[in-house]
Amino acid sequence: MRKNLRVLVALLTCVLLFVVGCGGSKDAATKPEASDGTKQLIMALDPDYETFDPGLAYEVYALLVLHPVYDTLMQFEDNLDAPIDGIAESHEVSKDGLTYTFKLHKGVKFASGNPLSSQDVKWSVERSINLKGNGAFLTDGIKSIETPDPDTVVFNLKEQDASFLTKLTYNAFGVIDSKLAMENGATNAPDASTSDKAKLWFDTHSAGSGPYVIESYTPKVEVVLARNKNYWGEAPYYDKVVLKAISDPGTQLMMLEKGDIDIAFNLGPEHVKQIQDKPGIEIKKAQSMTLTFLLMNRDPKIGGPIANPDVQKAIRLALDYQGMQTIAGEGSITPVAPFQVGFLGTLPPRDPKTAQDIEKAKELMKKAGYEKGFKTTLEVATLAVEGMDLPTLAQKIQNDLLQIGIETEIKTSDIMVALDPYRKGTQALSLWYWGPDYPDPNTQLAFLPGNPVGLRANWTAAMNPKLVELGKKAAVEVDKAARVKNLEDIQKIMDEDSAFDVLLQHARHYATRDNIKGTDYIDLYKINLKNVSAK
Amino acid sequence: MLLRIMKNNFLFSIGIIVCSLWIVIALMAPLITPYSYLAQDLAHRFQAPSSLHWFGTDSIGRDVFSRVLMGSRISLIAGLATIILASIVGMIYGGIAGYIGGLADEIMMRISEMVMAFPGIILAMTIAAALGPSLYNTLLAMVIIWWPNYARVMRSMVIANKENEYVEAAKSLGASHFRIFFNEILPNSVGPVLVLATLDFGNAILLFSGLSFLGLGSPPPTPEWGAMVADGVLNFNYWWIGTFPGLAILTMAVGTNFIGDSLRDFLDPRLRKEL
Amino acid sequence: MGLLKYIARRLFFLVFLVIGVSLVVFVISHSVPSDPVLANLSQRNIDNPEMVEAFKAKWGMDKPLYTQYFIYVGNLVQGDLGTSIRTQRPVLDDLKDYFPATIELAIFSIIIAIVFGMLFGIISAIKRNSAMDQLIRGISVLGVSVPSFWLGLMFLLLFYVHFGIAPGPGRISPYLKPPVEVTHLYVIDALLAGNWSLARDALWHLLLPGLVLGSFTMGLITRTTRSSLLEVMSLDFIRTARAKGLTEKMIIMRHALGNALIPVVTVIGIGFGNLLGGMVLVETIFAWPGIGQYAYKAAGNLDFPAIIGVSILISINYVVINLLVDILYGILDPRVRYH
Repeated sequence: MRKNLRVLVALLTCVLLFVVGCGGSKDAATKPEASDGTKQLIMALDPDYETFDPGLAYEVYALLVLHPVYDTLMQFEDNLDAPIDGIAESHEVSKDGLTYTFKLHKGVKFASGNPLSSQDVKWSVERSINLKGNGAFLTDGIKSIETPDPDTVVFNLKEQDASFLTKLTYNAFGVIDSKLAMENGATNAPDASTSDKAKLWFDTHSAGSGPYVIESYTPKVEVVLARNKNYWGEAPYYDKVVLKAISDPGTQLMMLEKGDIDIAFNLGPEHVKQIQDKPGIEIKKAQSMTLTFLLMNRDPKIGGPIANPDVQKAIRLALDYQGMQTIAGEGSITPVAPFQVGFLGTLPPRDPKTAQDIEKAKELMKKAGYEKGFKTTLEVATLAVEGMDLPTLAQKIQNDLLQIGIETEIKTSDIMVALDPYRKGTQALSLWYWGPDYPDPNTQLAFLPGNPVGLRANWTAAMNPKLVELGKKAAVEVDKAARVKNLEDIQKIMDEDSAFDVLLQHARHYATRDNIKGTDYIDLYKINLKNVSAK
Repeated sequence: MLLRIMKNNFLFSIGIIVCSLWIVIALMAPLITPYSYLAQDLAHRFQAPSSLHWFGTDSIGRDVFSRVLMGSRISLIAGLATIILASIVGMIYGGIAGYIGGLADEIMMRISEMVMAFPGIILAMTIAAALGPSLYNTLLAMVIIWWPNYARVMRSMVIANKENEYVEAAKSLGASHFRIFFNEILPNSVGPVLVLATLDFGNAILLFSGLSFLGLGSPPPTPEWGAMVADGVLNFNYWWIGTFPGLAILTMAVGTNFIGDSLRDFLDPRLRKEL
Repeated sequence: MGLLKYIARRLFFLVFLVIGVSLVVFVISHSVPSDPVLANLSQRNIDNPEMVEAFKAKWGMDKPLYTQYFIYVGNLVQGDLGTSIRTQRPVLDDLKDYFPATIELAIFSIIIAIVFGMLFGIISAIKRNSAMDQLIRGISVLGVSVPSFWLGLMFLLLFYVHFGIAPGPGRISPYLKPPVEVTHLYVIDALLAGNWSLARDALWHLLLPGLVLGSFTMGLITRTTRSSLLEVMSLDFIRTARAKGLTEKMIIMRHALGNALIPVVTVIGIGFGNLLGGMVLVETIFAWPGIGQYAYKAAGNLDFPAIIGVSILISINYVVINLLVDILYGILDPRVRYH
C-alpha cells in the first residue's frame, strides 16, 4: 500500500511537470509557412452543411463547398444580375420559352478521369429530382431531359420560367460522374429517395469535374478540398482549401488576428470595428440577400387588433429604422417591400431618417379604434441573422411599439419549434428572416397574398387581387423591361398594403488577411473559392 | 452561535456578508438601480465602464450595472424554487420508498438512479427545445434533474427511523400508517435533507445560470445573469458585458458555498473535536 | 454478497437503464408540440405534403408510437442506434467521431483536478487553520462556485486574446493536420506517430478547457482530501505514530494518506460523471468538437435518435465509472461489503 502510494505520487508529479513543461510553446501562435511548399488557404466559418451530396445538399453554405467541386451548366461570376455559361459552352432558349438547349465544353474529364457527357448531366438532374431532397423544388418545372448527342442537353419545361437559368446554378444541377457514383451506390431511379445509398460516400468523397475535389470531411471540424489534377479549366491558385468549422464569431476574429486563419467569415457588425486599425487585416463588407421582417397576421381570430390593416401600417410607421440599422451594423438597409436591393427591378431602399412617423402612426391607431393601445405577443426564434442577434432586435421593436401604446411580450423559442406556428400561420406578430431560394426576384413572390409566405400571415389572394395578378405576370414575363415594370408596381402597392414590414436587408461583414485577393462576396457562393489567390 | 462561528472562521464571515449583501440588493433592487434595467439608448451602446455607467452599457445601450442588480432577484428565486421543489419531491419519493420497503423500494430507487445517470443538461435542453424556453420550463427541468439526491438521503433517514422505539410504540397503539409516517417518521427525517438542500443552493444557482447561458431561461428583456454572459460572448470585444454578470454569479455562489463549507465542517462531529 | 455478484447486478441494471433512458426520450419526443419533420425539411418542402409524407415514411414516423419504439429497441439489441435525422449518418458513427475528443478532454481535466486537488488538500490538512489553509479552502470553494462558461470566456479573453500566451479554441492549431487516428486521442496518436510538436500542440490546446472543466472536480477533491485526512489523523494509530516521534510529514505520507484516499476515490467518480455533463458548456466556449456540442445541436433540432444515442452513452458511462469506483473502493478498503 505504502509503496503503491509513493509510485502514485511520483507519477502525478511527472504529469504535473509535463503539463507545466509544455508551457513554452508560444511559437504555436503564429502560422508557419508550409514546409513542403503546399499552398494552403484556411477559412473559418460557422457552417450549416449536413451533407455534400449534390442531390441533397441545400444548406446556406452548401455551394461554398460544392461550387468548386461540381460544375454546373450555368454559373455566376461577379454579380447576380444574370448567370453566365458554366460547363456549357453556349445555350439557346426557344421562342416559346419552354425549351433550353445547352452545348457542353468538349473533352471535359471528371477528376476520376472518366469523360463527361450529356448523359451525366441528365443522370445527375434525374437523381436530384428523384432523391426528393430539400433542393428538389428547383427541378419542379422540368418536363423532360433529352440528350441528342454526347455534347448536347435539352431541357423541356412544363411552363415558362423566367428564373430557370438561375436555378441551373445550384448544386441540384451539379454534374456528377455517374459511373463513379453508381459504383458507390447512387441511382437515378424513380425510387432513389429510398434506394440511393451514396449519401455517406458523397460526404467524404466527390465525383465532380470542378477545380477541387473533396479530400476529407470531419463534421464539426473541417472540410479539406484538394486540387483536381484533371481539371479542364484554368487551375486554381491554392493546392488545398481548408474550411474550419468555428461557430463563434469572436473566436474566428481572435484566430484571424493571430494569423491562424486567412478568412474569418462570420463576423458580427460589431466585430469588424474592433479590428479596423489592426495591421495585416482587410475588412470586407457586402450586401447580403438576407432579409429580416415582421409578420403581421391578417386573420382577426389570430392577430386580434394586429389583423387591422391600419394597425399594421401604424406599426410600420412607428418603428425606428435608423436604430435597427445601427443594431444590424453598417451597410444594412431597409427595402420598401420584400424584394432585395441587388435583384432585378428592386426600388431604392427607404430613407431611415424619415421612415419613422410616430404622429401619423398614432393617428392610424386612433382611426383603427386602438387609441389606448393593446397588448400582444411578439414571437422570435433564438438565432443570429448575419451576425445580428434576433432577440436583441425584438427588444428594440418592443421598445418602439410602446410609443404607440402597443405593449408586447417577447416569446423566444428554438427555430425548430417556432417554424411550426409560422408555417401554420398561427402567429399574430413575429420576427422572421428570409434568404432567397435562388437569386431571382421570382423567389420573393412567395410573399404575395395567397402565396406560401403570404398565407403564413393569412393574407389571402382575395384581400388584394391586383397584387396577385401582377405577381403572376412577373413570374413568367420573359421581356426584361416589362418584368421590371411589373415588379416595381408590386413593390409600390406593397408599400401601402402589406402583411409584412421589411425591417432590414443585412450587410455581410467578414475579414481576411491582407495578403490574399479574390475574396469578394457573392451571395450564392459566399466566396467563390476558385478565384482566391495570394496577392 | 452564529457570531461564535463567525469569530473563528474568516471564510464563513465573508460568506455571510456576501450573501446578506445580495439579499439586500435583491430586495431593494428597483430603488437602488441608477437606470431602468429596460431603458434603451442606442446612441450610447457599448460604452465602457465609467462614472455614468459603472459596468458599462450593452448592445442596445442598457445599463449593465442596473441589469446585474435586477438579475439578483431572478437568480435567488430560481435557486430557492429549485431546492424547495426538488427537496419536496425528493422527500415524498424517498419517504414512500423507505417506508414501504421491499420490492417497491428497490424499483423506486433504481428509477431514481436512472434519473441520476441521465445527463441532466441534455434532458433540460430537450425539454426547453420542445416546450420553448421559459422560467417555468427551466425550473421544471432543474427539479427533474435535482430531486434524486434528496430522495436517497430521505430514504435512508426513513429506514433508520422506522426501527425506532417511538415508531414501534405508535404502532402498538394502533396508529395508521399515514399517521405514523406523518407524525413520527417525517419530522425526524427531514433535518438532513433540509441541510443538504441548503448546501446545494449555490449549485442550483450555477446550474440555472448555465441553462440560461444556453438560452433556456426566461425570454428577453429579463435580466438573467447567464443570458447576459451569453450576450457577452456574442459581443466579446466589449469585455464588460459578460464579465460583470459572471462575477455576480461567482460571488453569489462563493458566498453560499463559503457558508456551506464551513457549516459542513462545523456539523461534522468527527472533525469538530479536532478543530 | 460477493464482488462478482455485485458486478453482475450492476451490469443487469445497465440494461434496465438503457431501456429507461430511451423510453423517456421517446416519450418526450412524441408528446411535444414541435415536430421533427419541420426541424429537418427546408421551408419549401414543408409546404409540399408529398415531401412530408415521404420524410415521415423514411423515418418510420407514420407508424404508431409503440411500434416505433419496438422497432427502435429491436435495432438497439443488434447494436444499431438508428440514424441521425440531422446528419443522416448512423448515430453510432457520429458518436465514434465525437466521443474521443470529449474523452481526451475529460481525462486531461480529471488529471489536473486530481493532481492539484490532492496537493492542495494535503497542504491544507497539514497546515490546518493557518492562513495557507484558509487560502486553499478559498480556492477550492472558488473552484466549485465559478460558472464554467464564464471562466472559459475569461480565460480566452485574457490568455489567448490579450496576452497571446495560450492557444485558441479547437483541438489543435488550425494549420496542423490531425494525426493518423489510432486511439482517436490526439495527444497519444501524435506520440505514436512520433510527431512531438503535434503532441505538444494538442496537449497545449487541452490546457485552458481542461482547467475550466477540472475546476469543479478540483474543488471537490481538495475539500474531501482535507477533511478525510483530518479525520484519519485523529485516529489512534496516528497518535501512536506521533508518540513514536515521527515527524508530521512522515506520518501523513506513510500512515494517513493511504487511508484518507478512500473517500477521495468516490469523489473522483462523482467528478468524472459531472465532467461529462459540464461538457456542453465548455465545449461550446472552446469550439471543442465533442459529444457536448453534438448533443446541443441534436437537442435544438429535436433529432431524437441522436439525443437518445448521446443520453444512453453518457448514462452508461456514468454507471460504469461508478461501478469501477465501487470496485476500487473495495480493493482499497477491505471492510467494504457490496450490497
